[in-house]
Amino acid sequence: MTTIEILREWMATELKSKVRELAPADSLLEAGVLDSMAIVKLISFLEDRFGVQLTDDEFDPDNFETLTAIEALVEKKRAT
Amino acid sequence: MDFSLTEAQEALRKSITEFSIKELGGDMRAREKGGTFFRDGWDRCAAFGIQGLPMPTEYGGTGESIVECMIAMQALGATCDDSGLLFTLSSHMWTCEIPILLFGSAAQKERWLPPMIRGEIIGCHAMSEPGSGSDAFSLRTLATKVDGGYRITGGKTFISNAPIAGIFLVFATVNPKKGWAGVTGFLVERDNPGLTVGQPLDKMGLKTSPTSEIHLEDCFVQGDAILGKIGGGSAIFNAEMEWERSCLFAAHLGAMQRQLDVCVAYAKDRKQFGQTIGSFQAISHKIADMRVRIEIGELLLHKVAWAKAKGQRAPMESAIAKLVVSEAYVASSLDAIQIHGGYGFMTEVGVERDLRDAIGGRLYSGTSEIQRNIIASLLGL
Repeated sequence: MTTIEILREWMATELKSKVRELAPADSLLEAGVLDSMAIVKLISFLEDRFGVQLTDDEFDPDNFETLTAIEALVEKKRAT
Repeated sequence: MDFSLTEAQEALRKSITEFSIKELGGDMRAREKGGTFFRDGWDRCAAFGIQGLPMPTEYGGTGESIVECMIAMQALGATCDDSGLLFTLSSHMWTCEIPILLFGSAAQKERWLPPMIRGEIIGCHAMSEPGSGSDAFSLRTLATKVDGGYRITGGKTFISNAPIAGIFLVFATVNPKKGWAGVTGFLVERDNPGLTVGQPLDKMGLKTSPTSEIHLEDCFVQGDAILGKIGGGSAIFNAEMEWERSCLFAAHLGAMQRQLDVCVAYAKDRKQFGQTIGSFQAISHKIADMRVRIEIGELLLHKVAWAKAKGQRAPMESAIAKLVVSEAYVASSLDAIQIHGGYGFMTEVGVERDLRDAIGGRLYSGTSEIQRNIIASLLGL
């Protein structure tokens, strides 16, 4: 599975969101997929699933706007 | 694993203890009755360097890590019975100075941090609104982009330090459709004509820490008033909460130690049925429980501080620590009253004040219920 597929599956199952209807570049924030509690869950998932550790300044809406943006964040963190 | 304080940490604890005993006393009952902020105490703290503890030396601080800040706040809590003063210090340091330090531009840091460290300007943090408390990011205060900056309109409530503050960290949304991702921090000066500060609110406890509503009506701020970036309010909020949940609640641990010392002394002195009451297990077990709560709270808070000092996020650990310490402070305050019997119920003895101050701790910085929600969320529930 690609990172985007993993993210989409997790959001559909854990957040019970309609993320499957969204394209990778669609806004997760405007679609209401990631509210303030969901983002806490998501960060915990990213840290566990991909073995990355996010810093305070990476808790930035631009990093979570779309599936593509989250994928880029994960790839950047895994590369460091 | 080493649980001991270093020589430098022990020296810091000792110097703050001596300072607090010497300079932060006075007639607490009178101040509480009048709801009077201890301005002299505030100024003495600034002269000693408290407000600059976590701030870099280039701005006039002493650059202590979060571990040292926690040790300092615990020492203050153990020796200063003006919990309102310590609460005002905490609001200023953890939720205004720290956000400016972590997210501010060079110009913002240069402008605001030195006078805040010197105690000349008091900071406050304006997040809560009449319609958004626990659901903080559903706030309605709106920041609209205009030529040269933003116009902010909305109302905030329960704003600690507002009546005495010179700088307000105001959270507003630039895009309500984006929820938490639209929330942005703005630094608003007190003399901004669009900002109105309400009358101090009368509270159950922490009466010497002034709190009020604020109103923003077409409050114009230039673009350089944005703290961090547009939509970056949640990053600020999460970072500062981890500081507050460590350091403010370290002051509570100190207060619990003060309660314990008072209760032990009373239990050794007070006699009933021909014996000191401390010889009755009904009393001694309560005191033992008070000591156990301090030990657990200290271990939890030190773990949060340790993680933060290493640059790690600690959302689970800080939620657990905040939950446990705030609930423990209430439990120990109730025990302290029960141990003192009728005397504990009398305001002139001062034991009951801790209970009134402690209850607020289960509400601010995220209620106990919200801490449990965070913990459950992080467990994938």
